[in-house]
Amino acid sequence: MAETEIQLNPNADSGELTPGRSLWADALRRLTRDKVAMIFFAIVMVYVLIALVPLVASWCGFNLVDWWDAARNGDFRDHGPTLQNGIEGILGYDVFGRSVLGKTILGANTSMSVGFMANIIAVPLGMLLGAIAGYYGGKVDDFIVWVYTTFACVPGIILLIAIKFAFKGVTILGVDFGGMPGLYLALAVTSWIGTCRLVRAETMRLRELDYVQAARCCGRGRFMILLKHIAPNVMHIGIINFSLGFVGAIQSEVMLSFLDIGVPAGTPSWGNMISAADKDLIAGHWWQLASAVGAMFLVVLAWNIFGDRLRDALDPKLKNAG
Amino acid sequence: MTESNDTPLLEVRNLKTTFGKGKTLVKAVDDVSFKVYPGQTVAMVGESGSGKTTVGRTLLRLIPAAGGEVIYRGVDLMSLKPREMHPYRQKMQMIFQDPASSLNPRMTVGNIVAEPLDVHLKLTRTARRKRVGELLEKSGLNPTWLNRYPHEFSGGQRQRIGIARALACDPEFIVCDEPVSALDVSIQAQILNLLDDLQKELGLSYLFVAHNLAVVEHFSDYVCVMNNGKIVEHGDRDSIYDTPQHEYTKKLLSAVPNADPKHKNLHARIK
Amino acid sequence: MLKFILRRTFQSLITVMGVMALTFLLFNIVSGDVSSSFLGQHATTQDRLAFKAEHHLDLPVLANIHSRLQIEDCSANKTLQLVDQKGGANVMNALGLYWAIDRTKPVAQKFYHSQWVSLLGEDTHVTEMLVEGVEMVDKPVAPKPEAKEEAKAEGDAEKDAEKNPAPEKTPEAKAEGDAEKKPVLPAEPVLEFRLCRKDLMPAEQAVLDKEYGKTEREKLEKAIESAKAEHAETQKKFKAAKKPEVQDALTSILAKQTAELAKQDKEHKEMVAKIEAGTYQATPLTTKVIFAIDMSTCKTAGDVLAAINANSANHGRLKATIPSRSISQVFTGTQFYWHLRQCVTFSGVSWDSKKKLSTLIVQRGPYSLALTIPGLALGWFSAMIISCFVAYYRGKLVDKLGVFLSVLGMCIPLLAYMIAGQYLMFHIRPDMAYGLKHSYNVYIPIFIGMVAGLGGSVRFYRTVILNEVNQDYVRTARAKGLPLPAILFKHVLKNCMLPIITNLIMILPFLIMGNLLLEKFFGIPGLGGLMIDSIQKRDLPIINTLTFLTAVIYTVGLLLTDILYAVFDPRIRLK
Ligand SMILES: Nc1ncnc2c1ncn2[C@@H]1O[C@H](COP(=O)(O)OP(=O)(O)OP(=O)(O)O)[C@@H](O)[C@H]1O
Ligand SMILES: [Mg+2]
Repeated sequence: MAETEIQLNPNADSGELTPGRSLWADALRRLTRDKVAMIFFAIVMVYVLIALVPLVASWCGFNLVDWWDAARNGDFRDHGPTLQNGIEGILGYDVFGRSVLGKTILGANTSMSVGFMANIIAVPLGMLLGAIAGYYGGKVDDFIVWVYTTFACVPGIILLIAIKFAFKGVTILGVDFGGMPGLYLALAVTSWIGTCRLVRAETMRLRELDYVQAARCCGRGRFMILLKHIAPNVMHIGIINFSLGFVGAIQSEVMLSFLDIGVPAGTPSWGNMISAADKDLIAGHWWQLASAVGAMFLVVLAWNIFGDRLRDALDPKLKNAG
Repeated sequence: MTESNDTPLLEVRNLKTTFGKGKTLVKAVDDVSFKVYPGQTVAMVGESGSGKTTVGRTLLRLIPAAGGEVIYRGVDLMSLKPREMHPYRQKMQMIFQDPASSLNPRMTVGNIVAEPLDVHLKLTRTARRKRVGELLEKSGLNPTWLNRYPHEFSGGQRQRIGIARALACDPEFIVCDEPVSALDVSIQAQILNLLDDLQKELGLSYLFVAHNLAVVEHFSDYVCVMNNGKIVEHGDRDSIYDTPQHEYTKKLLSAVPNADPKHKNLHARIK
Repeated sequence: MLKFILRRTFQSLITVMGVMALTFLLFNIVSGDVSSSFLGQHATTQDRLAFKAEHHLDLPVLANIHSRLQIEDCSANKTLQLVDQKGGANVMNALGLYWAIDRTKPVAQKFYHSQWVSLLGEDTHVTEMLVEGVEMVDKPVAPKPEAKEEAKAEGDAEKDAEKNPAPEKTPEAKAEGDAEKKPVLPAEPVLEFRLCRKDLMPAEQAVLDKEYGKTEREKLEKAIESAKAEHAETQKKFKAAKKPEVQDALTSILAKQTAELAKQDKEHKEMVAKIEAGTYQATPLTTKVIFAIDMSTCKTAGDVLAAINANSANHGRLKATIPSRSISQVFTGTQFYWHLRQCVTFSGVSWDSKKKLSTLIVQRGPYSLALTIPGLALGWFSAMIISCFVAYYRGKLVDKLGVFLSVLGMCIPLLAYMIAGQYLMFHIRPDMAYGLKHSYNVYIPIFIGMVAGLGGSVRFYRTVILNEVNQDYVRTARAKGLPLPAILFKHVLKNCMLPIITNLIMILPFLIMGNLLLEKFFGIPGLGGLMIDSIQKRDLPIINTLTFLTAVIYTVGLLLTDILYAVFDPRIRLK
């Protein structure tokens, strides 16, 4: 070699491969060093764990919902918080004498699964369409943009209600879209647009970058470029939108359940709790309402703040842009 | 190299590229013709926006051409279907202007350099690893760095990664699109020398794009001066530098800080 | 500039079309049979068919290509054209089969009868087309296996099969079967072609005459037989009778009967002679069934065509063809066309309340506006003031507190605000915690609408303002020594106006649509409540037109902001 480079890491020149640190690792490090983010992430994780409990139980052949439903305490109908029955009555009892604490915990499962399922459909869908639109351009782009502007033109809540209603009683391939799958799909259909728009813009930017041109120059096909060069570079948008979309899905679930078109009646959910208790407050029965609102408030707050911090960590440019 | 030195490796005839349409039509490349002989460096010089990059990209078919022919070893590349173009992509490569944006930030250096290998030659893991190590070494990088990511390198090092990638499949012809203009002067010399060494070692032909005549002076065999999408003057290096004909060339030359007559010294010094 | 506006307008039009297509897709296609979901589970097939016919729901979805079935009488050089006006799918429709089925329903009868008449035309050579076997029976009949299939294929009558008694029921049980059960439609309607005598070919006439002669002769012979028997009876009575007056009476009867017998005998002789000579003719009014087609096997005009041409009794007399597929109503005869028409002309009439949409908007719009305009204005002003305040102290404790509070505000569900508001309302005026009996009750919803949106808007406006504050010109102005409040109000706000106005325009559709949840919760009879009610009742015309209206308002708003940007911010136009 005619000249030597100044080595970034002098200890690494021992013939061993120098491990590199990817942008993902960098982001993770930024995130784990952010105390606020970690606190709220812990809260989110607590919710996730709580949400997993009924799932694990059902894997073990135990239906927590039925168990909780059967464990009615006739003496404590509509009873306020009490410590007489140990932890079970700490948040009071509903009109059937069922533990509100149990209901709130089971509701976490519903909320989390709604948030998760809606976003696991919406985010990849938005990313896929956005990437295709941005990368291929032309007629494909025009069509996808037309589709999402169309969706965006109908106010979200109307679209949500309309889709949920359209699905009523519709069964496709044995999946009853009148129930939870319909809710997931309705929420997904209304929330893929934001992701799609962002990913499309980012893809259009990336498409012109030199490394994509270099890949074309190497003879990479269009699809492989999309997969290897574009997808990893828009992935962070997907992750950010997943975390922010979670909040939206949880809030929408409550709204829809209030209108009696969300979670099927009988499934414990925060929305059903609020909907069932909305007239109770006047009678002074605040506990069910307070538990649901409180549980929801905390998780939404945690997701919101964590999502913001996640965005800052994953996309430092965005923070500067405001 | 079997062919004699008087058949051109690459001949560009009346190449045209346009952007936009209607009122906003821009003729970025307008009727450009030149030849590149094996082992030669053709320099393409012109001010910013004169269409140099567009020429390079069009002849590699990264941008659709509006007309003209690019004859590579007797085959008109412009008339090929994308699939038929594939084998030629192995032999024609490009080094980009901006080392920061020409490397995928989410890929390791090893994968970036091996991309042409993955596309054209199906190597085994160990052979691929060995080849990447060789390439990194050849371009003056530490071969143990192949698991690092582009953001962990300096500008000059990134440009070397770009060079290693371009060399991966033993190309015959490389478009160097202002490979040094984003670097500071000391590193510029290093990279230019590297390119020169590689040319000698591997018998490469270059289309070397620059906006600065000083950069290409010691390096080129033939010089085309571009302005506004057209080649206004072309000729041997010596004739362009010693007896420029066109006003535009004279203007460009006068802007070079140490043009006449010391340019030989400069050449010697860098070498 | 003009070109830009035109292009954007065109794009908006396409988007609006997209919205109509979306609502159509959602309500007319995804959600299945609208008529049964609107009319409910217990509606009869007839009700549903009539409802569908009335609201154009029985038309093809996207393209109407009618099958024109032409039946040509080769001997008489006359043609009959049957046009399936409802599109190619269902020739049963064209043949007026529904009319026959629906003859118990006045509406359906009226509708299909006119179609029936228009189908047969004035100068119909085939004098009569009867759809037989559609008798209403009193007792329920177990459906044949084919009956179910047909019901499925027809699609409209799916529920019909369910209403029929289950096949495993014993015949006794069926015979006892409750009287309130609806008459069951037979499964296999038959289409008969009958011809008048004068239209028959000679050979056919001969056959007809012969048959007719045979039956007439038998009839006559039977009559003679019975007359003879009667005559014999009377004679017996006459012999047994003792009283002269009775004998007198019987004599006159006997005379009459003898005369009658003689007349019949003469008639009979003439008839026999005519029949033998082959000159006996059936009366001109007699018709003959040339052949009948089992309609249960015919789903399309093509099937009918095949059935007619292949019928062995036809002898090539009638030739059925499908001369062309008519596309005269390819678009105007579709559900989608009526959907678009309804949206664009605002001619929707509520299925539920039978009121026109425009009336409903005039009726309910003011309530929505009374709720949203003050809420929006108050919310906007307070958000602006708070965000300016917060931006002024950026980085300081006040700013951090403000941001934190607005995040908190965003995290509280709207429902919690509403329930709390209702609680408050209840404590202030326990008698009127619900509905709009008193204008007083609108204050709290307005307040809630304002507070609930505050967190989000403060955050948004703060970002916008801070973005502007970080610009170079503000730094320069500060360096020159201008106080920050002066800069904020003089320059920054002016430059922030564009995004803020855009943000306001985005909320425009909600202004008109009202706040759906608030209206629903507090029982305010506005348009938002109407929308939710209509969706719950599947009152399609109202949903479609309201959605369309909001989409139009929104799109126009977007168009306006784009133009505003293009006019006031030259940076955008360059893109
Ligand atoms: N994608 C594009 N769309 C429209 N116009 C373009 C595009 N790329 C380049 N141009 C135009 O083509 C002309 C030539 O551009 P080109 O990038 O080839 O210049 P250049 O000589 O390489 O300049 P520089 O020295 O700055 O790299 C310019 O006028 C530019 O505006
Ligand atoms: Mg360039």
